[in-house]
Formats: sequence, C-alpha cells, structure tokens
Amino acid sequence: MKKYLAFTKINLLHSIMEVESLALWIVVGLLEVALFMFLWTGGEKDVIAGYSQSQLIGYYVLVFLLEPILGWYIFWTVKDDVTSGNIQNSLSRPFNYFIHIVFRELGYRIVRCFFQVLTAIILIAFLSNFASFSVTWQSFLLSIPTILLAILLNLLMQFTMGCATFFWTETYFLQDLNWMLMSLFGGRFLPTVMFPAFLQSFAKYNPYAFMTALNIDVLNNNINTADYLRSILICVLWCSLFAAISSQLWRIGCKKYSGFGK
Amino acid sequence: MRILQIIKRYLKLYFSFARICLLRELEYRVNFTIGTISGFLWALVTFSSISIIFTNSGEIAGWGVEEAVLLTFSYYVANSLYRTIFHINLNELGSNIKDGAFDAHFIKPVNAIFTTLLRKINISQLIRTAVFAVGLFFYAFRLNPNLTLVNLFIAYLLIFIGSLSFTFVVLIINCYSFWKPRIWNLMFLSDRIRSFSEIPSEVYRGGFRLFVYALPIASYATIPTKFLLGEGNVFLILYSVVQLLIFAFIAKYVWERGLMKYEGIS
Repeated sequence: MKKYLAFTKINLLHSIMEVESLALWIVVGLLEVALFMFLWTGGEKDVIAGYSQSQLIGYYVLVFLLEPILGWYIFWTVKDDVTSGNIQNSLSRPFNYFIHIVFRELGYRIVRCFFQVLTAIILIAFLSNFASFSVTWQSFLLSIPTILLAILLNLLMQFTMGCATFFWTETYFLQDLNWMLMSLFGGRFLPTVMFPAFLQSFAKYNPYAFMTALNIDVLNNNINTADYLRSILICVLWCSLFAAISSQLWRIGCKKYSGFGK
Repeated sequence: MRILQIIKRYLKLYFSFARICLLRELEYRVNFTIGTISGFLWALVTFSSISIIFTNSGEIAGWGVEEAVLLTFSYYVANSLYRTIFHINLNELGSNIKDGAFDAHFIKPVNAIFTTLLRKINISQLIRTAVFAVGLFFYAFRLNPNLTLVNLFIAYLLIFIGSLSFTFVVLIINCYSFWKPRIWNLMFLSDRIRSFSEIPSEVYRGGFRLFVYALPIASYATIPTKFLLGEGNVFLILYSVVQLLIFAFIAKYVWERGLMKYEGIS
C-alpha cells in the first residue's frame, strides 16, 4: 500500500504544479453550466418533463460538481503506456499495474476535486435564487456507495478500453464512443427522463446510467429504496463483467505484447 | 508570377500532406472505420438532444425545433470543416511547444504557420463534411422552399468564413502555450467556446450576448442559418468578414509575439 500511496503523492505534487490547467478545467465546466442555463431558461415552458427551470439549473450544477469525482480517465494512461512501450517498465516492477495507475490518478483527482468542489459550493451559493436542489444529509450519505461504485465501474471500463490497445494499437475511437455514450446515457447532456419511451428502458440499465444520472437522482432524493437497491445490484454486476473482461484482455495482451512502440 | 509559383508549391505540399494522412489513416483501418461511424453517431446524439430539448421546451428565443435542426446542420458543416483542416494540428500545438517538437517547424523550408496549421488532415472528418454539406442542402430546401441559390451560396461561404474565424480564435488561445507551456488543456477551452454555437445566438442574454457576438460564435452557425431561412442581410455578411479580418490580424500578432517567446526547450 505504501508504494501505491507514493505514486499518489508524486502525482498530487505534480498536479499542484499544474494549477493553471486545473483552473482552466473549472472555467470550461462553468461555461458548460452557463450554456445549459441559457438554453433551458430561454424556452416557453416553465416545467419541462417534470423539472422546473430552477431544478434544471440545479441539475447542471450537480453535473459540474460530480464531473471531477466520477470522470477518471485512465484509458489515456494505459493507451500511451502500451503504444510508447513504457508499459515494460511497469511490467517488470513488483506492483499491480491497474492499482498503480488508479493510485497515480488519485493524486490528480484529489487536487482537481478540491478546487472544483470548492467552486461548485460557491456556485451553489451564488445561484441560490436561480437553482434548486433537494440534497439532504441522508441523500448525501446514500450517494456515497453509488458514487464509489460509479468510480469503480468507470475505472474498469476505462481499463478495458485501454487493454484493447494491445490488439488494435490505435484505439482513440473507443474513448470517443465511450465519451459519446457517457454524455448521452450518463445524463451529462440532459436528464434521461426526457428521453423518448423507446430509449427509457435502455437508459436505465446500460452501464452509463450508473454514473452522473443515477448519482444526481440519489443526491436529489429522486429515487425510491427499491430502485436504489436495484441500481446498486446492477452496477455491481456491470463491475464484475468489466473486471472479468479487462483481466482477460490484460492477460492475453501482456502475452502477445511485442514490447515496442507504434 | 512568383506568387503563383509559391501558391503552386504550397498546394503541391498540401496534397502530399493529404496523401500521407490518408495512408496513415488506412494503416489503422479499425480506428478509421469506427472513428468515421462514431462521428456520425455523435451527430445523431446532437440532433437527438437538440430535438428533445426543443420539443420539450417549445420555442426557444423564437427558434422552433425545425429551425434548430437546420442550425445543427450548419454547425456540423462548419465544425467538420474546421476539424478536417485545422483541429488536429492546433490540438498538437501546445504539446509540441511543451516538449520542444515545435522546433521541427523552423528547420523546414516553408512558413512555420503553414506547417503548424495544415500539416495534418483528418480524412474521416472530410467524409463527414461532405455528408453534412449535402444534408444541409436538402434540409434547407425542405424547410424553406423559397430559398434562393444566392442565399444558399452565401450561407456556405459564411460557414467557411465562420470556421476560419474560429480557427484564428483557437490559434490565439493555443498560442498562450508559448508563455505557459505547462497548460495542456487549452484546446478544451476553445472546444467549449465553440459549443456555444450549437444553439441559436439569440438564446444568450445580457452581457453574455456581447461575448457571443464578440467571438465568432454567432458567425459559426447562427448567421449562415439565417440566410438559409431567408432572414439574412448585408450587415451580417459584413460583420462576419470584418470579424474574420480582425481575428486574423490578432492571431498573426499573437503568433509572432509567441514565436519571440519560444525557447525551444522541453
């Protein structure tokens, strides 16, 4: 554990040095909130698919808050390590590669979340007249397991895609597809309840549904106990599936890896 | 005569770049094929999202769902065009400055801005540009049967001008890497700013509208769409052209200042 924490510490210090990039992420996130704020408040209707305009603004503020917490992008690390050949250094050392990159990413996430969550709190205070939230202490506590599971699921999906680099070398398309599906079915673009009926059931059970959309519902007390427990169960099943796929891809990939860059 | 020779030389060079890019894309066929398909899926996601939003909200700032879809077509033509020619090159500018690879632009017997902006071409985006341009043509005539060929031509021209203006904005933003090479995510800022043109510029209110009109956000998609809807005027053409010239001038100035600042070490 100590060696993994050392990776976290190194990346944490490195991330602090890149504070300007972190500030820029916050600006980018705030611009996204502004975009949706203008869009949803410009319409004729006050209530849209059960959401009032202030609830919709609150929704996108929560998207902004959750983005750095849930959005771990270890795919790039794996892809770069495989294509550049740097992965050889990790394979010959006494640590688990997956845990190593997760802890490395953790250092960056701690710094990023600190700044972005702080900004989100200021934003919530600033928008108190325009945005409404139904977050309570109970819903906050209930969101902890779903957030942790969402992080784990995202990590495993990212690692699975990263392992595909062993076989295809150029795998940018996977991240592009993943980003598209996450934006749509994860609820980043719009609440999934607005989807047409034929997409609703798919939107409920696909792996992306357990990321932003579910956690906003849990935070906003928008989910009943049965749905909450069912979501956790399905999320665990998805995690198991991706864990199995990624471990197989990793095992076969390492065997066939020829050890040089593209 | 000499200018013609220079243009010929640069065109020849550009086609060589295009050929190399095509060969490279075909080397990774899975990535190329699925990348092209995913580009269309992205468009499908955007069209669906816009339809859902406008259907649920009713009219937004005087734009109905059909006008919004037309705007999305304009946006995709401008965006695909920008991504075909410039995006991939500008995306690498920051990292090239940071790791010193930017030096390579100075040892070649061509203008550094040419190789910086045009060295790589995204072939899969080229396919998308063609498809969206045709889609825009048919949808515009379906929505506005009285659309004249002159207005259609102006709309396509303004889309080109809008994407060129935005390229200069991205160049200005990315040139900041000359001063702060550690900032690696400048491209995401320009991507986010560009996303403001996905919806009608009339949606933005207060001081934010000034921001939208000061930057080439309105001229990227909203203004060309107005011509397709028969609502364009000479002022809008002048506005787009003047904006292009202003941003070209600023980009040139910032680029030259940046080059002076560049130290060439990683």
